[in-house]
Amino acid sequence: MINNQTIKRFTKLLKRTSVARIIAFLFFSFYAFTMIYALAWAFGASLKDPVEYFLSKRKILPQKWLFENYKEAFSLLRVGDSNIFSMIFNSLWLTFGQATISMITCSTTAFIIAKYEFKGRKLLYVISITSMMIPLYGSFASGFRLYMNIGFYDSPLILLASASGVGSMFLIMHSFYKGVSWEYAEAAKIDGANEFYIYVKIMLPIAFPAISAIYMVMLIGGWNDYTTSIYYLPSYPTLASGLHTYKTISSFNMNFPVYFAGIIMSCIPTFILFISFQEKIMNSITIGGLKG
Amino acid sequence: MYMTELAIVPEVAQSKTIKRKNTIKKYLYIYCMLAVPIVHFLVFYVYVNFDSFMLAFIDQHTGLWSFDNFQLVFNDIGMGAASGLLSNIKNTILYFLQGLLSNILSFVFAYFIYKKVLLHKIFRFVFVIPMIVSSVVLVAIYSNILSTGGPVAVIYSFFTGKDAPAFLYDERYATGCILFFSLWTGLGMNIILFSGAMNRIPQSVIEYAKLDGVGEMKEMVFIVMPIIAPTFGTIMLLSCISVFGASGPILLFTDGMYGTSTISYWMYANVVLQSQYNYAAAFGLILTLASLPIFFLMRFLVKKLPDDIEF
Repeated sequence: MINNQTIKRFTKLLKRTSVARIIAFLFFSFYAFTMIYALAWAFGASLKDPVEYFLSKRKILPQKWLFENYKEAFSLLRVGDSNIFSMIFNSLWLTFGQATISMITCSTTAFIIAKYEFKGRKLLYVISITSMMIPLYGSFASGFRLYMNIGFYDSPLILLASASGVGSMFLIMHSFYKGVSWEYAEAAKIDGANEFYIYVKIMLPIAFPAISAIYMVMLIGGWNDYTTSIYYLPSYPTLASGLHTYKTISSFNMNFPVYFAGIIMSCIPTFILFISFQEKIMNSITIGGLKG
Repeated sequence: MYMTELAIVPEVAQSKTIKRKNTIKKYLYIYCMLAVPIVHFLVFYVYVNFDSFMLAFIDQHTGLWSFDNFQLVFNDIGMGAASGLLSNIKNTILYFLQGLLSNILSFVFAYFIYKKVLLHKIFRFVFVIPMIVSSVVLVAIYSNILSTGGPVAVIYSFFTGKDAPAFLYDERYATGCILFFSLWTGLGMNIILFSGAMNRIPQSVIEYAKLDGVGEMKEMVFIVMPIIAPTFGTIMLLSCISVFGASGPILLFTDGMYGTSTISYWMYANVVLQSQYNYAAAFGLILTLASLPIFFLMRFLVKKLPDDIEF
């Protein structure tokens, strides 16, 4: 049954619809289709028999849904001595370690530079911005050599390299702390609080919503990052780098459906995190105020 | 009077001492809090870049000062069409241009997400997929879709009547395919970013325009775009500064084979796989010097841009 309200809504929609809107809608639909198709294709491939995979790559749905492939992924997906469990473990410590160290140093640096007047403050701010902007292409070679010489290469010590305290996270936190009133700190000082107490017990809780949103974006980025492990941690393959290495080393006798089962499983944590905190994450993914 | 002044003197001195103590305490606290990032900066930025500069002028085999590394770079570039480095530079510029195109396209399309086109909430979610899903996953799916017998090959054969080429293993198509992948996966995320910036425009500005009878396209060109222009301009200019850093997921797709290598991949291959630190440092130094004029020009242009509009 089509009632008057539906007709009115439809007429209103038609009035609002321009040619540009239709083109944009078609483009978005096509884009969304390709993204969903790609994931659906990978999911379908993960359930196929290896022979069926090669014979009917173009089809999404398998003839038989072989969920055993997911079970097999736990035993088949190996890189050197690492099985999928150790890859997950490596992904976890690297992701949480990097994000936490980076967050703590960025937040602390941003707080001090935003809230305290001291000699060298402006210089530190300029350095933090300029060092991000000047492209120094040759430093990768000496940086890599340094990591080898000081024992960061192929060691969990690599986490310390995340303690730079600068980067886009610093900029976001700096602008956030600038906007926080210092009156809370003054009130706490009257009650005898010291500077560190003010930061930890007053400022950090105020900044928590902003920090947690950025932290989640960092976790997603860290989980998906494959370069750190491939470049610097060859003995500690993460799920992302391990899947790539598995594909590289076993290209001729590779079990593609099992490989795609691993691929699908590797997406689950980030999907859960994103769906659980969708609004928070989406709100933190905005740009603006870059110039200032 | 005299007695009163005498009584004040020790109090002033005492308060000065307390003030000084507080200042010392404050500075101690500030520099303790900043100790880690400062040490990090000195070691991983100042030392690393100084060492990189020195490496460029040292012969890797003899350990002696020399210009051989630069000579090698220029010899390679002098080979013209056969030069590996020139091919890397050419590909890098292609990725840079792809980045600019992605920014422009997403800037235009973001407007329609901002204007809440039909199903915009679903689209917003789908556009974030490339951020949630690792490049490793997307590359694995994309390269298998492109492979022989895959959906793309079937469509190709249907339209041309010929067998599809091995897109990612053929020099004629490989770079184009990776460029397309980079554009496609980057586009959705950029649309979200730009529509986020557009959401900061107060509704009242748009309402006023509507009252004046401004249509949708005019609103986009004459109201939304000028307001977002400083943000858009800054992003474009920042992209220009790191022109030689532009790249795609070459490592995941082809390991630099089939003419797909870029400067970033070349650096990885020379440093991590071949330990050619000095040669890489020399080429890096040349690129840094080449990009410095771009850096200063872009800095000048960023300053020329209007500040972000306050609402």
